[in-house]
Amino acid sequence: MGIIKSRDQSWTLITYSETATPLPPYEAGYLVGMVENEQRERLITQIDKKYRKVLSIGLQGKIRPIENMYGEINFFIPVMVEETKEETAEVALVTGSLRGIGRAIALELAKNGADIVVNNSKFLPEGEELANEIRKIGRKSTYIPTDISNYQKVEEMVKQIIEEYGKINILINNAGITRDKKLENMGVEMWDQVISTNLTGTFNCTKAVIKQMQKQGGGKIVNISSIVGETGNIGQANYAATKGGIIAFTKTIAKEYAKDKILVNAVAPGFINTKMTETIPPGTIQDIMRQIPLQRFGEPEEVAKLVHFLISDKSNYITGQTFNINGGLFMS
Amino acid sequence: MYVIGIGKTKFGVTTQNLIQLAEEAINKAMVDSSFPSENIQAIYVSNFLGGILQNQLHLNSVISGLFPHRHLPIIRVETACASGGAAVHQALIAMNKFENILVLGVEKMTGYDSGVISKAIASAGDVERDQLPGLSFPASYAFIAQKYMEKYGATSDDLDLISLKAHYNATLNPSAHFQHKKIDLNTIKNSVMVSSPLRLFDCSPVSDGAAAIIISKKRHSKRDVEIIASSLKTDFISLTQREDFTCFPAAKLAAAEAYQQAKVSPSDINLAEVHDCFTIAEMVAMEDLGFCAPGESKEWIKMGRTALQGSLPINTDGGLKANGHPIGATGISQIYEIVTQLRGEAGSRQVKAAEIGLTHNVGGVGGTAAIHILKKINE
Repeated sequence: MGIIKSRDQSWTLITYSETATPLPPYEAGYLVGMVENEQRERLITQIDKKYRKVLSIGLQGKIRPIENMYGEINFFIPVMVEETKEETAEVALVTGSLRGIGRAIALELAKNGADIVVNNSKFLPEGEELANEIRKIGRKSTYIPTDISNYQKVEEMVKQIIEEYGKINILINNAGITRDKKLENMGVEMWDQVISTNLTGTFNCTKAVIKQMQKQGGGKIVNISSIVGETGNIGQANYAATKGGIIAFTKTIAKEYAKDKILVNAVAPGFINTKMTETIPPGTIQDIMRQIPLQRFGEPEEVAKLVHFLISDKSNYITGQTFNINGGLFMS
Repeated sequence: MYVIGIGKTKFGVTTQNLIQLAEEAINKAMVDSSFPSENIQAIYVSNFLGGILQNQLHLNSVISGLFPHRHLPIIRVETACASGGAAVHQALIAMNKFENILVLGVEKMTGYDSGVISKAIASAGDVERDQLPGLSFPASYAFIAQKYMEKYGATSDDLDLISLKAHYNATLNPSAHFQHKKIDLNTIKNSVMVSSPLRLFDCSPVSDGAAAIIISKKRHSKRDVEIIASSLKTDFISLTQREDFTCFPAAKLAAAEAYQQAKVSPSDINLAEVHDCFTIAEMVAMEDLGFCAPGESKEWIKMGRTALQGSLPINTDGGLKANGHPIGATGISQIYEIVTQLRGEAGSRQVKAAEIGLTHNVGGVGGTAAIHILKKINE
């Protein structure tokens, strides 16, 4: 690009503004500034919002080209920050993130500054679309469809993430499926499928990232369980077993890796408005609604906000816990 | 040269399309002048976004359809937000050849997503230097505001007073976008931050509208107003190419040339319409036009010197801020207001003893500047 000039020299921030009126294809607000070098050449740059607090006129820094929707654009990196700490975004793998709660989590974490690896079992255009949406927010994103019930494939995915992003700090074990029937009608294959994705998938992903997190000096893992894992539910022996299993798995991994500063928690949503709950017959919905003290289903974004709390610095003394988010339907 | 007829649609959110707006403004100018349309020999059309928003370019031919079988020479002029001023400037040059020219400014901007509008307006900036890294116009003017505040110690409180004045004046203007909006300082101060330090009430709105004027070599009635200066200057498009953000050299040079043409000085100007696309732009304009020294505009504003009753009323129609900013129409609408005032037809917002008025129309962040000076004819 013609006007990207020598990046290695020192640039001075001469003015900046935080704008809430992004120019498409940018969607969220951003910091934009003007910098000047010793030859008095000037450039418009973007500045990562994480530097907001340290910004001031006259601040010295470097220019880094970063790929975005437009192509390559200049970012200003304040020198003082660069010298003290190599600040790069958190990298999060969210399994099963093409829709529902997983998608909401991916977007919420991206909005809060994380780069996101989007995942589901088999390639779908929606995966690329979500990755694009995340890039428009200004974060990096890669869509990697992978069958998480296959450990070897999960290892390959994690290897690819580390090659591409250099690290992985956050794992959200969200992928889950249902194959509902009462026990007498539940085929063995129905049991196996649900166990493979929900429970073995969680085991595989956690095992595949844990060494990297140890090496990095910490990490955060959030496992998406379910109210059904605590209360049981007619027709969901397989699903309930996996979700209950996830709670016990969470406690165990939290104990095993607390010394490595890897914090592991579980979130147990109640009834949330997603494709998964769309299949419940209207009559049953009325029955359920009557039992929910808050008298409504939750929204995926509400679960996503709780997950964001659990991967943020605000939850650094919390591990091995299960957080119910169910409108009061079940109180432990 | 004389302005012998003026017409303006109500600015704001309308259901009219581009052509309906144009037609209404033209008809009003014709009625105002009682001038037979057969006498119009050429037309200049000012429009900025028709190509991007309505996919309507070749606007001269579209306007030709409003004058069937005339086959007039019609030209569209586009210099971003200064399109109107530039069209008048071009028309005046063409008066070497014609007796009577209609100048029309028209823009349809409402009904689109804010992102679509932001991107369309950003087309007035440099693609590589400004647009790719996401520098919107609010952000550009935020840079100007930040630098101005740093250099001269102005504050957001000063900007708020400009917004308050604009909204008050607009309540007295029946064709203003915000005629019916009562705004107080609290509302202005608590409005959302658009691009720090500029808040919503520092920004002109997205408006539809059209304005038209008829220019003639001859005087036709006592209501006619003389154009005694017209100047157009340009500059680098991007702020990255400018040394100082706290003034617009193009506006300063155009003003100097206009004062020379008109043989007047800034102190002779009785009222002005300046390009307040953002409140900070009005402060910069007051200094570029030589009304006050650099850094002094904040004192003028605090003293009320630019209010309706002040010594130099500015933006008596509400300005771009509250009269509205249908981009292609803005420069023509400024002349509409000065002519209305010099004729003594401005009603409750009439400036007393108005003899000489000035319009200041700017494209981008001072990339284009068109200045006109108009004079009341004393018998």
